[in-house]
Amino acid sequence: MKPGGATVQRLAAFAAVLCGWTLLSWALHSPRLELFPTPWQVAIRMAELARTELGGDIVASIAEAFGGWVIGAVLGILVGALIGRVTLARLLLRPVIDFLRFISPLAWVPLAILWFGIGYWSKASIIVLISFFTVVVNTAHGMSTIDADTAKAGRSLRLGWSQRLEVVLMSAMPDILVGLRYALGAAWGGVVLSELVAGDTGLGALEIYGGQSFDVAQIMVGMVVLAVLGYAANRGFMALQRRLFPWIVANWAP
Amino acid sequence: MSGRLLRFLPTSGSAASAALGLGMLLAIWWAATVLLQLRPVILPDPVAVWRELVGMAQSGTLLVDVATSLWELLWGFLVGSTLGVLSGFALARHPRLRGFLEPLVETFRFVVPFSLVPLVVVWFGVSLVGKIFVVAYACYFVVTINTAAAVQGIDPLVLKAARMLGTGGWRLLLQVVLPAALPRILTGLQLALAYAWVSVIAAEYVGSSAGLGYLITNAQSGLETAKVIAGMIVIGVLGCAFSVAVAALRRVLVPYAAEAGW
Repeated sequence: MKPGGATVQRLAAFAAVLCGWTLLSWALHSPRLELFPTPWQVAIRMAELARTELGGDIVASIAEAFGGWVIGAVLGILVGALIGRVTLARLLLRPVIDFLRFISPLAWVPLAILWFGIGYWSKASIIVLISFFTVVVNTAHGMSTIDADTAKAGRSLRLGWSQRLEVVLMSAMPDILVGLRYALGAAWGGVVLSELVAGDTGLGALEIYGGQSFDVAQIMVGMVVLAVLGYAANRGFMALQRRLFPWIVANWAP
Repeated sequence: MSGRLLRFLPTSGSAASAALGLGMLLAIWWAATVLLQLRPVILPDPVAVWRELVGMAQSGTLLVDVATSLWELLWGFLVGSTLGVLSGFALARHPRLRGFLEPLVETFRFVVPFSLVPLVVVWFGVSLVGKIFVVAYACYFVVTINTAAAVQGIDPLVLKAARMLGTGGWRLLLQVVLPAALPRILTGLQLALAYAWVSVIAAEYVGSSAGLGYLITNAQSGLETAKVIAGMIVIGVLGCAFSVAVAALRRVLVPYAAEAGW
């Protein structure tokens, strides 16, 4: 298919969504309580919120997601490398991670609130868990399945300690990147959910306040902004990966 | 010596490994509560959590919560994965439909399922319908994408050979396409079940009156940390059980497909 055709189809799909949305909201319209606002009502609400709290909520959500993602990723790569390369670490840590992985990070939200109170860390800690468990599994997998010939070549070239580390890290990099990208997507889910429960700031809190006042347009603003941010984060990650590691083809699919 | 020890280690990702991990965690946890003298509201000792668990099981409240969550999981998963498999096949087999559906799937994939929770609470209240909506939405995309990839990934030579041998229509679909695509479809369903379980808990955090998610948030607002941890363990054990069940089902249904740990 030529690229022009794809764009036309994409636009047609968007137009269909907007038309369907409008028709549904007309069909379900009730004069007393607006349960299904039209696209332009949501756009107007977004413009109103942009003048008051939307900016602050976006900043709060991004700070939680990004901070938690970075901390979890660093921890995940370190522990994953240990599990992948050191037998003792594998013996001790792998069963523990196997068990904890079954308790979804999202089930930790109430405990995080008890431990950290309602604030930045009660949400960021959930993202740390999400990011850590995803990255640790992928890193351990990548580090333990290094090509035997690569390892042999490294030995015969008498590489130094730091160079050997680089070889190991770079051959595990495709797996690590897959984990990092997945964690980035999952982090948005974690941010919304923990803000729904421990809501003081952020887009999840925006939605909860909207729900409490039956302001469906405000909830939809939150949903749209979250989707756009998630999309932008995904695109940004792919662009960065292509720039930094142009030889890695994993992850290129949207 | 490391090789000898490793032979005793259960396969990674298996239930046996998780059970071993539970034992190790219990030891660390118990040691931490004894040595650090933590207050029970921060971290109760394992015995207190066990008592809480037994208490809830005996009074029957745990059974109600588990049954509620499982019921929501069942319906949400059924609705979401049925729609997902159908649209995955449609995407893969009809190029025209794909041109229209693919941008939609690509767009809505980024709408976080949990961001729907406040919306369904306003729309449907605390009823089952709202939970089914969220859970089905969470399942739908992963099933659709994996099913479409599975059907598209079938070796065209196999299809040609089947047609040449006179197979067509429903027979082709059931006896050639489905067995060839099933391993990847099952992978999608496996992931979807895990997502579905998480979103059941998530949907119960906000606006519900029973279920495991409600149990732990309710215990949290009453500062009953032992109850929170007991609920988390139940969630984890059930999640583990689903994973084991699906892996067993996979071995029965598609013995010809390889499986991998991590």
